Amino acid sequence: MAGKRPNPLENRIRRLRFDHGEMTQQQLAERVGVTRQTIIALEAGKYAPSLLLAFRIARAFGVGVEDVFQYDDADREIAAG
Amino acid sequence: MSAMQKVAWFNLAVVLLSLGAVLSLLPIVGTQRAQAGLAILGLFGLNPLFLRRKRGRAVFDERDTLIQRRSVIVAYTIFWVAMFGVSGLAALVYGLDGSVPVEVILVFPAYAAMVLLAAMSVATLVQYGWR
Repeated sequence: MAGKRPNPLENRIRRLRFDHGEMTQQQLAERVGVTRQTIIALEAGKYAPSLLLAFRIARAFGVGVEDVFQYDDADREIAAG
Repeated sequence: MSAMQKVAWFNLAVVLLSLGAVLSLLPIVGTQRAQAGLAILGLFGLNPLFLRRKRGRAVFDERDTLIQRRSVIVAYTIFWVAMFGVSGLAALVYGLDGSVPVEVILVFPAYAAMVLLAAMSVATLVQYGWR
């Protein structure tokens, strides 16, 4: 049996928080309307956000979605066979 | 700890407390009266206290919704397996031509709720990572 597949969605939320005046997880959570635990899970790569939340996070930092989230292409190649 | 984790821990504690009360009353007052311990299950009504919105802060979001949805699926799967198990057990205990006492029927929904809520709480806590 194969092991648990790693999350193919990587993100730069932690980096972007620090680049935006060392914004706290709580501040970001309040800005995008989620709990701090969700921000923690996102930063740890344990949760893939909905498209809506991904856009909200990107807008909170004033950047595009792909500046925050990167999809691992290697994973896509494996899936395609 | 998120609000949903607190709810799950609280519900699990209520189930265990109620079960403990019934089991400890059993040798003292007998099977029928020991079921009074099930009244503790009424504490489930306090769940909304954990979901009070704090100023400007979300208490429940899309991740919590996803976790809850998965927990409900897990809990109902366990619930139905338990229901069929209990039905089979009734045939074993009372016989195929026997009859189930009304006192058993009366407390059955409470135990069914215990199974459902305990399964849902454990599934929720596992998904959050217990902390």
